[in-house]
Amino acid sequence: MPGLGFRGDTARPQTRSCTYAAFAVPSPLDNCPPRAPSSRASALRGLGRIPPTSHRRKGWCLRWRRAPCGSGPMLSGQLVRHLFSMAGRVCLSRSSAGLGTIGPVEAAIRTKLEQALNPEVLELRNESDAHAVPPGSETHFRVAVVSSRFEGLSPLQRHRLVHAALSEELAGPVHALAIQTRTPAQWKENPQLDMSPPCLGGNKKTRGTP
Amino acid sequence: MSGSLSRAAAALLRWGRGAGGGLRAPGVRAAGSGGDGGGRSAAQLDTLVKKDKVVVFLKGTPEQPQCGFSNAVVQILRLHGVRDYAAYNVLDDPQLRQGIKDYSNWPTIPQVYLNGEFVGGCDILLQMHQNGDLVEELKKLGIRSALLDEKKDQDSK
Repeated sequence: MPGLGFRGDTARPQTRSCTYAAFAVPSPLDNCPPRAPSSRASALRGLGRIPPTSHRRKGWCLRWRRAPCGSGPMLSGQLVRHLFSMAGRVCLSRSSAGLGTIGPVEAAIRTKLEQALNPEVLELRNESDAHAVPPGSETHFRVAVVSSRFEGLSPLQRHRLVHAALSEELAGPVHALAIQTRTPAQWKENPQLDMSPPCLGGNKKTRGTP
Repeated sequence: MSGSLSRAAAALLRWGRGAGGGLRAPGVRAAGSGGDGGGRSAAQLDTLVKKDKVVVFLKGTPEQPQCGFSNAVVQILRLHGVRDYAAYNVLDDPQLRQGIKDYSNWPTIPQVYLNGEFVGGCDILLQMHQNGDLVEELKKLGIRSALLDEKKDQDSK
């Protein structure tokens, strides 16, 4: 399986800018530096595409910077193009302002990935509060790993490396793990982090089971 | 803006016509009655994933996904105009849910199989969609991605 990267093949439709933003609503965060609302953001807010900026996410401060719109044909039209462009460049920084503590599962995931992959960049986010699980859960995570150990590996092989490092957590409390893997060169070319799509409720009968 | 909206509408109409005149749901196939009582053996699952060119294991159904990641898989396939695929709802069958994870040695749902081969979850499918690999993989299966038609329309204008 080919790895990441822009192929530059004009014969194929370019959908590089397509992200989960096409299927998701960006999560607003408190404690972020205020930014002037863009006309597009206002339009999307008016359409109900962006929730009011009153929700507080524990532990992370998300700073958005607008990136150029993706190029290439987009099947789904202008609205989806707006959503794609809103993904932008994302810079995550750990907030030390007491927004939340790191739980034991999150700490274990971070430690194990650092030991197994020696990453240059490791972004780990507990997304459990965005899902239908009790507060304080550590069941849904998103991780972005930049490591030279991914050189020459297909996306499937890279993800399996991450799974292998976290086998105990995945067999235990972790219900969902969204993974982005890049080599240092790929990260330099595209340091954009994906966001997860919104939770659709899961199965209430088996909530908490992966 | 009107141009892109009309192109999107035209794409949707072609999608409908390609189905034989109307919008219809993907070929959702149930994973058997489980009457044998033996759960989901590797052999059974092997047959299941090879029965159709495109097989996905989801939480929920394509019409009503119950997981954001499963929904993403459904939407990506929809964007490419893949309409005839087998979708199995693991929420209806706990044995299938665990069995498919053991079969693929992949701990999460959704799971995507192309031509009987495990491709990955929704993160990998999204990557393939982003870098154009999905179009090529579908082409190998004899499935022409709708995005190629969209590009052709744009090039001709």
